[in-house]
Formats: sequence, structure tokens, C-alpha cells
Amino acid sequence: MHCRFSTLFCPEAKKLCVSSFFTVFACLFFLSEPCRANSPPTLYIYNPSYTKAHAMQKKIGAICPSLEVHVYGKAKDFKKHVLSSAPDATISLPDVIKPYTVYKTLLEGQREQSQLESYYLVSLGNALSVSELSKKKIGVIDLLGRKAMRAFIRSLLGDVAIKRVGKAEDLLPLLNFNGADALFISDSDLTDLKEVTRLKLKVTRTDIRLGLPVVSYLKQSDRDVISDCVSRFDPVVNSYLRVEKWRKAL
Amino acid sequence: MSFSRAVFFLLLLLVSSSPVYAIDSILIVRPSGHHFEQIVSGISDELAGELRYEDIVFDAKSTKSDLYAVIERYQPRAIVLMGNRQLKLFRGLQEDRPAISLPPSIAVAALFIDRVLAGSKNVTGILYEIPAVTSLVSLRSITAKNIKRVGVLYRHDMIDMIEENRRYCESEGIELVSVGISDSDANSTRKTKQALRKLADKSIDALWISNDSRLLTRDLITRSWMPFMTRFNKPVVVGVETLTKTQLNMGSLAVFPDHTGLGAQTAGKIFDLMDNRWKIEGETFEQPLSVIKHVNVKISQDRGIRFKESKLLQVDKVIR
Repeated sequence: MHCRFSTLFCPEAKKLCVSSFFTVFACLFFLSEPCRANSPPTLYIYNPSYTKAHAMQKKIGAICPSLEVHVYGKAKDFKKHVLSSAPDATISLPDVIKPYTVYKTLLEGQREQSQLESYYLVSLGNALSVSELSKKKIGVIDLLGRKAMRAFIRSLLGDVAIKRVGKAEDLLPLLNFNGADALFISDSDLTDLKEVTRLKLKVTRTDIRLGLPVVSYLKQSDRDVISDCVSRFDPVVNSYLRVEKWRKAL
Repeated sequence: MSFSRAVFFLLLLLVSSSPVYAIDSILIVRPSGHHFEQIVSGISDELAGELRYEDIVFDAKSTKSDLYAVIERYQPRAIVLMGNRQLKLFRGLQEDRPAISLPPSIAVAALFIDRVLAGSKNVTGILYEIPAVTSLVSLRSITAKNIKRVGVLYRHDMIDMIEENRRYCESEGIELVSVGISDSDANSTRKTKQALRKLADKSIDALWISNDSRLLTRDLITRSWMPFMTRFNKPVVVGVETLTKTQLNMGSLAVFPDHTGLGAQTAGKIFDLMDNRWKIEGETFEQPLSVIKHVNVKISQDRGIRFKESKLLQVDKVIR
């Protein structure tokens, strides 16, 4: 028997933290602008979908050769990479981007002439309305991490318990195996779900409407190359991002 | 990158990685191996900053006393047990020392957890076997064929598992058509092959091969399954990646656990326990939620099976 790994916040971890501070500081300070001057701008994308991230990365990378494109299948992977190496541009849901206040919105996704989409409660057995959700377990795609997601969903639905899944496709087993009393999902997620399952879903439309993906950027100088990339998105990419078209942010 | 931007991200990084003191701890006891490490990684990502954990690797020589020693040493709020050997040590420890109170435990990444831990106290877990319905719904969504009747060969001893799968499949409009054989017949390549032929005669749209190691011995694969597959031209869904190898000509679709996702699901159970003041309510075992899908297009095309190209974007790996 042997101990392989310990994650306690031990003195070694503190030392590591201190040394990491200087390492990260040095990297950011000395290796920032000059070393990246010739590198293409980076674009990080996260949007919950049944389509696999690696497939979309290949496709979007081919459409936008002047950008270094990374597509993430889970919000936590997106967050981890944004924190470890901040991209020059992002495409994701407004609520995912919101904590990173340095980013400015360049383009807003639109569907049916709106930059918002409706959200639904989906259950088996009895249909549920928002007023009946107290203490119920609500399944959601994790966008923000445990605490932030709980606060976010409670701000929308009240006193509910949250069951998070990392991938859109995990919502169906969560509901079917009684892991949640209902799912709280977007119009696009509902369309995907209905395409896959023949369960007798009970669907309730809520009054809640949340933002479609937005394109955000850091530097003014990258605006054109990013806009040019997005303008060349085909229907497959736009469908993956659940939008019909893009418009300049107001 | 401007200096102000660099400083901003530095601060963001520091805030997100700030240590938290006086937090509860979890003990993970597991075997070595890549899949187990992926599960730990999934747990670690979720627990970060809220709970600490000790990751202890047991080997084949580890004993019940070793398990008790690490529990005593770390005094965890809860234990995560991985691997069948660790589950048996835990069960043995409970049986040997019924008077001691062990922390609530979560069993994952072991075969037939519900059977192994039947009668054990203060334990919950996540089953490792992917339910047929998860795999078959995936198959239905990517194939151009209608999937209504799916055959499965099983050993009589596994009837409970088959019945549970049958119920889930029914809710999705899929009929599980089963042929059972006895344990002794499962040792015979001839009788296994006969049972497979009987199954193929039942007008099935696809075949689901459950992960029963007794039915997937090297001998049975080479002398029963593979010869049967040469004349079977329907989709075959398997539960392990290796059975989709082109040279085996068996699985057209493999659906198996996403170990990082299993780690995240385990962390969810840990947080449920924490929210419930470290008490297990209703000692039930959850089904696994997150899976990885591999499609072998070559095997499928040879059997005349077509896939919807756009749906192939929804699988993790396409073997051509």
C-alpha cells in the first residue's frame, strides 16, 4: 500500500503556490506581447451541444485559418483554459462570459430575430411549473461550477436542489434514471432532446429567456479578423452555436 | 498582452486558486490505473477549494487492516472506494468489526457494485455497467435504421440485470429480446453459438452485448462470437472499446463509461452527502450518466448499415 498523491493545503502546497505566483507573473510579464506578436489570435468556444467539441474544432479551425481555435465540450474545461491562458476572443453564452469582465461583446447571436431564447421545464409523469419546484431536484447543464450555478438557478427558479451534468447528452439519462425531478433547459436543448428520446416528456415553457451565444474580444486590433471568421460560419457551425445569424453588439 | 491585462488574469488566477483552510476531507481508496486516475481527476476538478481529499492507491497485497489504518489516520468525512477488491475489503471490514462506525462510503468503478455490497451498511454508489437503454438510444440516433427489437444473450444468473434493462428500454420504445443460457452452457462454445443463432432468428434489429466477462472469454469470442458475426448483418452494440476493433468484426458501436464524467458524478454524490450532514439517505446505487461513444464505420458498412453523417459528429471517435 502506498499513498500516490495528496492534495492537502500543506506547507509544500503553499510553497508551490508562492513559486507558481512568480512563475505565472514572469510568464505573463515577460512572455506576453513580444512573444505572441506573430502568433495568430486565439479563439476559445464553449456551447453546450450534442455535437462533439473535437469535430467542431476541426471544422471551425478550417473556416478560420487566421485564428487559433479551441472548442471545449464542458464549461469547466473552457473556464480552466480561459484562466490559464486568456484567449483573444471567445464565443459562449453571455452568462458564461459574464465573470470575465475584461472582454467586450463584438457580436450577438440571433435566432428568430431575438438574442434571447426560451427555457423549459421537462419532466416525466407530471408536468411541473415554476411555482411547484420548491425542494425539487432540477437537472441542468453545468455552465458556472457548483456554487455559482446553484446561485444562478436559484435566482431563476427559487429554492431548488441542482443536479448538474457536464454534457448536454447526459441530461437524458439524468431524467430517465430519476436523477432529477425535472430538467431546466433551453429551446435548443429541448429540440436536441426530443430528437433523441421517445420518452413521454412533459414540457412546460417558463417565462425565463436567456441570452444566445455572443462573440467577445479583448483587443481592438483583433476585431476585424474575429468578425471575418464569424461571418464565414456555415449553417452547421451556426446550428452548433444555436444561432441563425450574428449582429453587431449595440 | 498589455500589462494591465496580465495583472488582471494573474489576480483572477490567484483568486481562483486560493487555499481554503479547515475544510472537510474525503478519502479515496483505489487501485492504480489510468481509468481510476481519470475518475480522481474528475472528482478533484469538482471538489477544488471546497473539500480536500487523500488519494490512496492499494495494491493486491493490501488488507482490511490497511484500509482501517488509512481511515483511522485521515478521519475522513466520507470514503470513495474504487475497484472490486477495495469494495470487498470494505465489506470484510464491516463484517469483521460490526461495532465500529465507518464513514459513509461511495462505491464506484467496480463491477456489479449492488451485488458486491448487498447487505453492507452506510454505503451508496454509482453502477459501472452502462444501461442498455443509454447505448441503444445512441445507436438509434446515429443509424438510419429503425431500432425496435434488440437481442441480448445472458447467463441465467444475470436475469435481474436483464429485467432492469428491459424496463428502461421499454420506456424508450425498444424491446429487449433475450435468450438465456446456464452457467455450464456458457462454458461451451457450441452451446453459446447455438444460443446466438436462436437469438438471430428472433427478428431482431440489433444485438447488445452486455459486459458479462463469463460470456466474453477469449475462447468464446474467437470460437462463438466471431464466427457468428460473419453472418450477422445487423448493428452490434458493445460495452468495451476493444470490441470495436476492425479485425474482430464485432462491435459497430461501443458505449463505455466516461471516467472523468464518472468522477464528476461521484463528486456530486459527495456534495449531496455534505449537504445532508454526511448521512446517507436511502442506500441506493445510481446509474452512470456520462459515456464515451466509438463507432466503427468499416464494420458497419460491411454489414450494410448506414449512419447519418451529421450524427457522427455526436460520437467521440469514428473508426473508418
